[in-house]
Amino acid sequence: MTPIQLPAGAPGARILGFGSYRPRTRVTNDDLAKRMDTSDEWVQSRVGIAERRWAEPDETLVEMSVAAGGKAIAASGLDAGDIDLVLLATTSPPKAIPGLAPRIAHQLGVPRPGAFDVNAGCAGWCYALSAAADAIRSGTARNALVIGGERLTDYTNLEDRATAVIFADGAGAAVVSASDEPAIGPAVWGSDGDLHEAIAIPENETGMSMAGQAVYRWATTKLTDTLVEAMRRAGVGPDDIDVFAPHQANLRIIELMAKRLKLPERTVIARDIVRSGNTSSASVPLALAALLESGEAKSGDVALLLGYGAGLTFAGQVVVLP
Amino acid sequence: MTATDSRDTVSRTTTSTPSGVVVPSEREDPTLASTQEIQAGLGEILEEVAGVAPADATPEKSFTDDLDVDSLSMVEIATAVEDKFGVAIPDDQLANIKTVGDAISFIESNQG
Repeated sequence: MTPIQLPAGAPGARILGFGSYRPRTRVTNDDLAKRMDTSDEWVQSRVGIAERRWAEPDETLVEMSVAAGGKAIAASGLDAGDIDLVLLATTSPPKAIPGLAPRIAHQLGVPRPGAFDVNAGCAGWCYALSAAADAIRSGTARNALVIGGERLTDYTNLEDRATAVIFADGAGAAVVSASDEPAIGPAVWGSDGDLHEAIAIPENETGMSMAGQAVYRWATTKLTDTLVEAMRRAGVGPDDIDVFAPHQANLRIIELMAKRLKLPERTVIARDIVRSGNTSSASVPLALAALLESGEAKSGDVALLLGYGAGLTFAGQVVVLP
Repeated sequence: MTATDSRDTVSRTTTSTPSGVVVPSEREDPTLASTQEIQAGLGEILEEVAGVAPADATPEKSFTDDLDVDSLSMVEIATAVEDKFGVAIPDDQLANIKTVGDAISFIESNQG
């Protein structure tokens, strides 16, 4: 039997650049209080959101993803023609068929890449980042564009005060490439499918519902171990973490996780939720892009990432920022 | 029972649950805390999680209405109680715990 040959692959993978797109329309808690029984104080104390962005009709999932992806390619120093893998992490596509990654790649001028969508709830971008890094290490791809894009407002009852105050829209992206020095650690990923109903669109409904207490309990009790394991497998400890960027689901969860991990004072904690709300798969790249733009995070920083959400799914990993 | 116990708690627990008869010598066992230990431990958790002054954490107080504890803080209190007293408080039962006294009774009935 002729043995199957494998490509040489790469010693490691790294992120070369980020890009993001934030919808034009800013919606404050006071704006929401005019249309439903809520208040700025209630929302800020429960979830930590001060404002969020809601996409207008022309800000489609494809357009937002193309905008974020184009910026990430520009930031990477590569050309669209260098990209050979495009992944779109999303949980809110307008239709089941077709997947959107091929069209996004086409609009960006990426020639005939491997392209597919990833639905792993709010953990999607971290799942996709891991898949891209592994594809590059194994030699299946050289340069990958990893996008997290969401129009959660399409799947949110905007009159429901339990969810309308939380979910929002946007896109974030990163270009991942081969590197001699590994700069994306192994993902610690998994799922708890027994909790599949905790975040879901119920039968015969069009808007998402979330069992807030159940998800809060799961996130604050089960996921610290995931983060600790992600650090251990990458060979770093809490004192090495310059930036902590978990999924932006709830500011209280973010603060509790940071406290339980005993991260040092100097660690920059992503709190993009305050101005962006919960953008599911887009939240981690949006938060990282914002920290790099503001200068709060810098090139070479070691960042601990965590995605978690509908499924329920989770993925933690350590990366070096570009 | 010591004199520091509130009369309300003593009467409520010693008459209604078997764990009310726990003797002091068994208190090192964390799964069999006495009523006053439960109230004190719960008070510490309430102070840590929700900033409630220990003196305010009396059995008749409603978490939501009197102590300003919201639904997410209730989850944190539940998980801290689970760790401290070795009981399990599922979300559906958590919904029935409205007062500090309810929590004390729940822990007494379910520990050990």
